[in-house]
Amino acid sequence: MVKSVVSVLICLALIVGGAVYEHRFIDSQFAEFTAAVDCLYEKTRDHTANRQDVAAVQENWRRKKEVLHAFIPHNDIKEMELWLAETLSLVSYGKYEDALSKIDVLRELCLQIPTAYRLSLSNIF
Amino acid sequence: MIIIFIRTAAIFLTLMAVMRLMGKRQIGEMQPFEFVITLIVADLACIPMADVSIPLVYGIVAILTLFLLHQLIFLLENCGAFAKRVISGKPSVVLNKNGVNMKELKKNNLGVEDLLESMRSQGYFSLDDLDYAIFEANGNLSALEKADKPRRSALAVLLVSDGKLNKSGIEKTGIGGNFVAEFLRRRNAALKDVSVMTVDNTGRIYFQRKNKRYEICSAPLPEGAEW
Repeated sequence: MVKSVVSVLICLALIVGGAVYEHRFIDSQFAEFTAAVDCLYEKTRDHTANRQDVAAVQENWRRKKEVLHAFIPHNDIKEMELWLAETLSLVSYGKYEDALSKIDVLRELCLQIPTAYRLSLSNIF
Repeated sequence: MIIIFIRTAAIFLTLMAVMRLMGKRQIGEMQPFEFVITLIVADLACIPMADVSIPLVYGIVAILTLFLLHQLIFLLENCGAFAKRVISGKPSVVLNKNGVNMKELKKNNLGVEDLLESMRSQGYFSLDDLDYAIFEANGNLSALEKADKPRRSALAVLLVSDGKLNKSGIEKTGIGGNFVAEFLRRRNAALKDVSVMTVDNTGRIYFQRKNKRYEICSAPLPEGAEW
């Protein structure tokens, strides 16, 4: 009986603790990354962005994804990488208008992915 | 994580309710909640293992949730008889000294054929071999043999179950529908009023009207009847 109660409490603590950590970690990681993407968006809009700027954002994402792999589906991570790669190419060729639409998708993904982990009825069902 | 936790718990509770409603036929040797866990756990472990795009933590959290629910149910069951009855169900006495209890059988989504099948697997080939037959909460049949049970080498075949002719039984034995009709006419009984009627190859008949005690009769088998 005592063993059962203790195992229930430990299990509950692990799940609740893990859930809180996951929520905070994903939120903070995406908040930082969104700031970087926003900065890139402004530079692209002003036609001042260059290949190094996008590469820096890409590098930022590569560092974050190492840990994010543990929490979010790997397909979502891959999708971010593909949009970043397209942005890099377009900025390199000076196609800023096209690059802006790609960065818009990145910004949307930055909003959508963390929301998928929030406690809400739409996520449960 | 919390989403996976809630989703797993929701699926578990739904499956649990469905298994309880399905009765004892679906279970077999496990308590309903153990059966539900067995059903889910294999898939939960398999999906993140086989699909590398799903983080491993998804499977781990779901399995931990099941473990948590298992332990909670175990604790709840120990709280009292009512909780145990709601979660795991209670044993059903489907055969007593008066005969087959059709109400209990139906409550568990079982028929007389299922009862006969379970009895045969325990080594009893006639309904009147037993004083009591109980379907336990885990779906197993427990049987209390009659103190004066004779040694018989006869196989009883179901002819009528819950007011309906059992055509496969009649065909298998080659006994013909007339045998049943003639027997019922002599007993002044209508088919719809018969709960159970079986016959073995010595012509020994187990006959039970609805809500009445069973009777043992005998009748000569028609020519050509053999099994």
